[in-house]
Amino acid sequence: MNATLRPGRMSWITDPRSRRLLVLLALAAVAAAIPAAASPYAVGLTTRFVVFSILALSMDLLWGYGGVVSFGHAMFFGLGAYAAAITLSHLTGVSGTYLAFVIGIGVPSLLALGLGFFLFYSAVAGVYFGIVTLALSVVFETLAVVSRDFTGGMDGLYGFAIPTIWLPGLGNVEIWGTENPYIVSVVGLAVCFGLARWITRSSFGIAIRAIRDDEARLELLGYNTAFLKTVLLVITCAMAGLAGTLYTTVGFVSPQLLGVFFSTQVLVWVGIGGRGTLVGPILGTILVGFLETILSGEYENIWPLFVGLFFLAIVLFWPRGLYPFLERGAVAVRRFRRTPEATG
Amino acid sequence: MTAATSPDLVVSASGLTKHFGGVAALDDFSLAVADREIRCIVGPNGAGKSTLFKVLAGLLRPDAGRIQLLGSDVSRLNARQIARMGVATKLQIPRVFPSLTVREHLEIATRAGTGVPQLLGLRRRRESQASAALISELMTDLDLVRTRDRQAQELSHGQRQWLEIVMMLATQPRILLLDEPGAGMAGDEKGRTADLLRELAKRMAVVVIEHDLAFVQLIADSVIVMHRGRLLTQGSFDEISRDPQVGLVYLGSATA
Repeated sequence: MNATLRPGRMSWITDPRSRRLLVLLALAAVAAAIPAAASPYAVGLTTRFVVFSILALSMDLLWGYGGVVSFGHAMFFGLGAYAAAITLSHLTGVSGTYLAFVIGIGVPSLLALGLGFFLFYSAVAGVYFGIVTLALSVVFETLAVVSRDFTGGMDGLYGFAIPTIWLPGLGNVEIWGTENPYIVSVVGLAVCFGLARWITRSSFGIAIRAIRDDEARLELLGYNTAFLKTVLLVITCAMAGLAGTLYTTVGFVSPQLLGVFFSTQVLVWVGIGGRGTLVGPILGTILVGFLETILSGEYENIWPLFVGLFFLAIVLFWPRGLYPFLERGAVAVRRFRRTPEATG
Repeated sequence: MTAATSPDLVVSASGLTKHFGGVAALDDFSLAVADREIRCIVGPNGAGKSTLFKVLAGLLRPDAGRIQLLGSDVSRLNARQIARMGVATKLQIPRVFPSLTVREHLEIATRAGTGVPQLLGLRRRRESQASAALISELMTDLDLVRTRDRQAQELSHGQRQWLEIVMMLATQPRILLLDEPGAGMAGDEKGRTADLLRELAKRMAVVVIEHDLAFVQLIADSVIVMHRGRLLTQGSFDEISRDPQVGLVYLGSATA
């Protein structure tokens, strides 16, 4: 019983709860400063990457936590984008926008429900699930190209109504230009992140990780793992659909959004950022997004080569991704500071 | 076997047969276990012990035979349904969840069989005080308390075996099926495992497959010797260890 530091005496800055609040406030400040500080072009780019990071976040829940590898996760994003854009081609205004959100989230969720029911319940797992999603992506991309009247074919859809939402005190607000889409996307990301964090910290989140570790063992404890995986797939595809719906604020939807190449990019973002960390995939998406933009400006044709090499380097040196590496550094620093207390 | 009609019989299987290709892993095998007893199943490699457990747990469907657990017919139920009835199974290789902490193992085991709203914490669930008391007692006895926040992959082999047993107990089973619970443990760890099993048998039926006869001697009320999917003999440990037939098939092959 020597006079070491007691938790009650710790300064407020080392208290995890107030530190978390501080980090949140700092992030909010950065997010709020971007539209004022950056050029409209840069804000537009950031908006896209924020929307994409919602997709990466949902991929992380599915792959990083649940261990379910999908090579077609972007398909759910693209379906959401198309469903919302088609709705907005026929309906305008606030009610049209709300309906676009419902349909943009609902269509991918329903597909996920069907897939989960047919695949997980008949024990299609691992690589086979990945291959089925891959094949389905090709099917949907082809359908989008072929059915010109409905989807605009190769040219995609544009010229649909501007999404408009009603806000108390502000009335009807068009999600258009640079700032409004940016704000809506950041809010969307914050909501999805909160949701993802809540899910992963619940018993459901633990069960999902247990499925990744040893599905048969969890089943032997009395869990219906096929049902849990279906629920997880529906949640993550709803999130991907929301991201797709938010993407309509760009004003243009094309078949590539459904395709395999885009799905692979999502895997790369999650892999680089660090799967199973929630924060990592968001960082990965934004980092790789800007890297791609800069590289594609400098090297018009060979930029994917550099992104590929970057991915390889990450896989070789930090196989768990960038964020766990950063986190380990932070933990080491914290542990070093706390040593006298831990031994007391 | 007049016990077959006894009301406190929790496992009652008869005529179990399971073939793999041309080999009979189980050949008209029958088993009856009463509540609150420890039954050990011994036998040389390939005697059908592990197959028996997989059939009882619903992981393998027998070619023939009937299984009653806790008084109801489970022949058509799958592994999950049997687990929910109160049958906890540990297979030969210890299987815990490597990336989950000890605490997380107990959390999901306690909530096994509940719906997604309960898992998400949207709806509260009553938790059994008696079970919670037993778990915390065992966690202390087995020195698992101080590992509570460590991932299973950081634990020693023996600790993982114990964690698996404690996790199974958190599902509040009435029957424990344990395939080699003492495998790979050091001598003192085996002693503590034996104490643990005897303690558990005061509350539930415990069926143990074991190779180590010294360990069997520590725990078993009665021992079943299996050979080539059939019952060779059964009785107390002293009876079966004096049986020349057992020496021939079991000890003979073990020393060979």
